[in-house]
Amino acid sequence: MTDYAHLPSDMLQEIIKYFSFSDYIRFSTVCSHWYDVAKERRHSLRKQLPWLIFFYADSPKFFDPLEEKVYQIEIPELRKRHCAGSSHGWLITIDLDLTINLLNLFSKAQIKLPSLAYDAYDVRAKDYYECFWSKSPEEKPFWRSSDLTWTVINIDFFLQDVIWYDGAFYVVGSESQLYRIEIGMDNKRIYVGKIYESESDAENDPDWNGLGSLNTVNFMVFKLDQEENKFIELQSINGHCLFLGFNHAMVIPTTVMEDKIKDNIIYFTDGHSDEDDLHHLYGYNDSGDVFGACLPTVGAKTGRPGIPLNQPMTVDRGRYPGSKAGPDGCGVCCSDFDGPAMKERCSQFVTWRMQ
Amino acid sequence: MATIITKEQQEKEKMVTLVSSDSEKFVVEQKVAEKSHVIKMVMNCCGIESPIPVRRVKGDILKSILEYCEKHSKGEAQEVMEKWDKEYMDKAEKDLVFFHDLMLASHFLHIQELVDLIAVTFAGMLKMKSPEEIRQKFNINNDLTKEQEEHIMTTFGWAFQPI
Repeated sequence: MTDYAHLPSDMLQEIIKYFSFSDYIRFSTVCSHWYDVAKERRHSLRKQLPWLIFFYADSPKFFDPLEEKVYQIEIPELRKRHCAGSSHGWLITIDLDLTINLLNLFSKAQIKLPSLAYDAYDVRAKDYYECFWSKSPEEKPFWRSSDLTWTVINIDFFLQDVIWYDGAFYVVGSESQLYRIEIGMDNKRIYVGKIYESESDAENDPDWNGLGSLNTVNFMVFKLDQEENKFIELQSINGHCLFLGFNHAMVIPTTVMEDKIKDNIIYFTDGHSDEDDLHHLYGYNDSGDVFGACLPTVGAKTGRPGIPLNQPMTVDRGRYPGSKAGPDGCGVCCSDFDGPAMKERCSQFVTWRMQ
Repeated sequence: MATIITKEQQEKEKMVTLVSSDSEKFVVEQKVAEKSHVIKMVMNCCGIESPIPVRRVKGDILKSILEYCEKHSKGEAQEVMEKWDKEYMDKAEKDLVFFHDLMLASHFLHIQELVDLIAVTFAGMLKMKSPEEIRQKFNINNDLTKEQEEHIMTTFGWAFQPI
């Protein structure tokens, strides 16, 4: 007798591992037996592309680039909180009383982080931009899951971006200079190189008319040749997708994905939206128009060598300040929403964003 | 006196007879039958002289499975195999009764490669489908309990309402 509802659990478990997160949820609601099987999930889900997130009060919207669908998820836990970034399905949230939490979007698990010094933190809470664009020396606190408090790294330039790669921070300054900061006794800072030569001084640029009215006009992608300490401009990122937003920049080789997905695409969220009038007192990040959010890299050519997976990628957010497109897009990867690597992922998340 | 075993005899000795649940007999090479972990265990303990009954698998399914095992015991190039596997699955998934039985048999006979292949194919058939579409296609009754349904809707309701 053909009875798909009661296929052996072992067999169904084999199937689950090929699912994306949304497929997995839909699978679990087909019938009672499948629900039980899904609940006892033994394998992690398929590798999937990150989702883009857009904040609308406590109901963020998510864009799944694979299904090209937008989901709206109500998260009551986000009420009266500001979201400062995201990674691997976790959001970093800041309460009105400045408590910092990691919040898992799907399991709703929360991890309280050590509190941060009030003044260092206040700037950020009041106005992210102020901190981000400030010309004054900045502090870059970070935290590891094993640490009790934040470690503050002093930097005498202002930051464009930070990534954690190969046991060190890679920090991009406003003059497009890249530093490697090794975490140790003295947090040694090593100058790596300049990504590109600036053509114009950002603040004298006539296109630069203050905050909140910046447009992304172009992307330039550079790859760091670690042996030569040189940056090579790439004309295409064939075989890869790039995710930019209010998170660490992620480059994902499309070849490791089980699905056939479009490659040579940069996904980013646009900070502008006419319909957005939901600025919260504590600055819910404004939200972007998801449907305009992907474009092929400029000058894409075929047959160019791809970027190896484990190379650090530095992404030039353009020659125009703000072409980073607003601090609002968070890459969210849900495949490990309750995985064992949770702690590790959290620490990465924090260290990458607390700048 | 030592018996001299001819090459022909050697080949012959490597053959094994499998009998399906509806008494259909299949004579295959031992290395083909070995693809099934379960049959391999039986052969290891009971030898290959007498026919091995495969009681839970019907003739048409066993035939198809042995066809798969035979192809996969030849050590052909990967591209050739991938193409063959795809055609094999394309054919199988057209008949949902056959596909179901093939899935059960591969699982029961413990042919891991085939289980994997079927799992990918089956997952592909379920992907991006609503639960209702899945139920209709595979003739499944919605027997979720009230608690289960409630839990799903409160936790994952968003997954069913893309905007």
